[in-house]
Amino acid sequence: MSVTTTLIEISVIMSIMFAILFFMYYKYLTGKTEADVLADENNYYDYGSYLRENKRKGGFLSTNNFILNDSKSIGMRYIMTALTFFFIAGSFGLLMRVSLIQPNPTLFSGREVLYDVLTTEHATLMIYMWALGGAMGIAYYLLPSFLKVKADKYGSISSTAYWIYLLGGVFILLSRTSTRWYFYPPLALQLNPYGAGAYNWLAVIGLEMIFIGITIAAIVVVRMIILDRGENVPLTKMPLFAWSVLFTLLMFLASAPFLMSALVMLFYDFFNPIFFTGVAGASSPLSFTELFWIWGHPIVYIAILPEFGLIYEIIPKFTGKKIFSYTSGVIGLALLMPLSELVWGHHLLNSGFGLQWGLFFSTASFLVVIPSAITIFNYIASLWSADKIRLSTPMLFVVNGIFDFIIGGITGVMQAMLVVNIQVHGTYWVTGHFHFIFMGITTGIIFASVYMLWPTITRGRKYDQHLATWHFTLTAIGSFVMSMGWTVGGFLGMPRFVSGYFARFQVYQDIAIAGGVIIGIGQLFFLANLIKSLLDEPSTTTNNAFEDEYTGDENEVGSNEPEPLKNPTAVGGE
Amino acid sequence: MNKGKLGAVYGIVIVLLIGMSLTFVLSAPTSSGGGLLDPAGLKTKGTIDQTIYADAGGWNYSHGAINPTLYFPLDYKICFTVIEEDNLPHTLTLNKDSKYAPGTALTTYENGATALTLITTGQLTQIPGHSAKASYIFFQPGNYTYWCTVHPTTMLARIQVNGTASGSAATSIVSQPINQNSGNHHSSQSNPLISALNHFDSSSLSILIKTDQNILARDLPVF
Repeated sequence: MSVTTTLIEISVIMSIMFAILFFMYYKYLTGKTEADVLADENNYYDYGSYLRENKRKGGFLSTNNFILNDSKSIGMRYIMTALTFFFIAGSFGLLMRVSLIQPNPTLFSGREVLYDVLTTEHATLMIYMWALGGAMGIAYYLLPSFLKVKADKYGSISSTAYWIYLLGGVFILLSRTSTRWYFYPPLALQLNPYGAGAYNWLAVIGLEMIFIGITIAAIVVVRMIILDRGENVPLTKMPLFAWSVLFTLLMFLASAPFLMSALVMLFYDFFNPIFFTGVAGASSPLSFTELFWIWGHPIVYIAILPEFGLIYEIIPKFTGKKIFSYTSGVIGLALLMPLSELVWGHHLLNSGFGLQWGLFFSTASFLVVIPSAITIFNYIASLWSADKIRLSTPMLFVVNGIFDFIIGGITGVMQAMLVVNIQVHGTYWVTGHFHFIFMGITTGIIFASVYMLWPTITRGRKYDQHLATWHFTLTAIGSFVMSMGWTVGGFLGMPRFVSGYFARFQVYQDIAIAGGVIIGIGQLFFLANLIKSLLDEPSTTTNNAFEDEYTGDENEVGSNEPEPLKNPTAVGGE
Repeated sequence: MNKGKLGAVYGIVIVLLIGMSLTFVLSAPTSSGGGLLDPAGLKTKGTIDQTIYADAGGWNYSHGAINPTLYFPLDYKICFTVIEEDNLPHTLTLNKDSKYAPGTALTTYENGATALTLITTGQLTQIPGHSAKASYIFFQPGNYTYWCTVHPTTMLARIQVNGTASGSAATSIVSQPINQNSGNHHSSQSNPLISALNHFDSSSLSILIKTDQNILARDLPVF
């Protein structure tokens, strides 16, 4: 028998096998499952909605979250993944801080590239797995209730997107890349078998997978918001969280393709360097930096915009009044979307692309103050006009978030100035600036939401008020101390992204190390709280304060004044 | 339904995941400090020490010939020791020299994605006398360049790696025994054996006979 005959036989057998597999897949897709029958009997639009409404008491650690494909389960998956990666990436950050106890490298002496690996992993995992994943999880979990969504029939697509996204994050962790989170070539193209960058190609694939996953999920959620809303939730009365998620995901869909294509080109450069290195006069690493930052600035807004929306949802629960101005809230969030696409160049003010470009991006960056200020003043007005504010842990996180965002925002505006930017570019000032915002808004508000969702997450347990207060106090104090040490030291010229520093910066590094260790200890209180709750007997219902307003029988969302905390125990009240 | 044990399981899983991630990331192979991790299954024939002095005026600026051509055998682990001679930042960067032409002066280098920086500015302290180590194995015979990315016009020189023992090297490659001052002996390139003998008379004899491996390192000139 000749080789050709064998090949033909093999290909025929494989074709038949694939036809059978495809038939099985077709039967699986079109088959009426038990859940379909149940959904039909109970007058539900599809089985996803049925599962969402009836099987959602699964809690945080239930394996059902990974088997069922309704929005609530997928939201829980994302939240759980985000928390896990938060602890992993946080331990990386803590180790970096501790290694800077002396000006010369201590822990990584002789292996300084490990510091770069930790920086890269900390940044990439925190941004994509914690900030983006946490926001996606809360959106998936809350939006079906907020919008009274009828149809939930894209569960399998969302599930696929989640697994792609998770695998991408794991790939980035496994790649041990040291390219920093912006993947600049030629560093990202290093493939030498001796360095920590040996698996840079894996990191590029991993990041692309994260993008593919989140893009699919974003399309599903945008469709859920725009097309699948319940009849009694008009667009103009949609909860502000839904608006913020809509703007975030539109921003994502508008800017992600730039980096997705850049990553494909980068991957091609591994084999045939033509795009970013290699061809003299034609390929320039600067084109990658531009493609990256067209995405790279929107991502830092994507990391805070859903949290802005969550603050709008949390404040009324603790003041007993509506938010001060719904319209200005929507306008503030809406303006951030186009402006964030216009200011990407301010990350490249020192790259030498000309004074005119610098002036444009510097001016555009100042305009971002307007929507940010609208939003912040809206929060402050809401708090100002309240008769009484309950300062439970979620509300404390919100107040601290507003405080931190003002500091982080002002330092951001300062560095948008061309002159100041030359001074502070590449220093710890920038690190301090975005850690104020990421610790205060992103991390703080996701934790606040987790506390709000606590009875649902833990199947009817209340969180320990004592441990939660410690968690909040240590996180708030630690992040302020750490970021302030960086900001002051950075203004004096302390360079970031290096495993050592000049001895005259010792005091600022020591302050930052103290802050970092305080934050690290604070997160242990959160973990202890979660474990303690899960070990306790259930003591309350599995309803949470977020959805209470939306699970009643009101005809129209947002028509009634929110009562001051229908379910005080749900947020750890007395 | 009481699934209380899940709390403990969750804590253990989180701690395990953190520990595994830290262990995994901290065990990343690194090239600095001589801590070279060889690829699995690779057998090196031995180790060769090579000391060069970094000065903005040129490699080995005040130590004999400036920018000496280095000669290495194949499949040996070359441990570079770079000693700083001035208070300026330097790197030690290698790449292949595909445009090599015998007898010409070296003016260009290929600073593409394939260039490998063995010693970065971060490993040097700008303090004269400080040294940093890194190692590399040359798998392929041929012509290489080594330079400092901060001072590429002055600190730029050649490395020649000879062919395999079977003698299949390109004709343009001239094999010479490893020697720090071999730049002095270009006139004897036509006869490497004589050149090798000359080296025994030179001041570097003690270096050559320091270990058995270094004796082995200067064997097998291939034509």
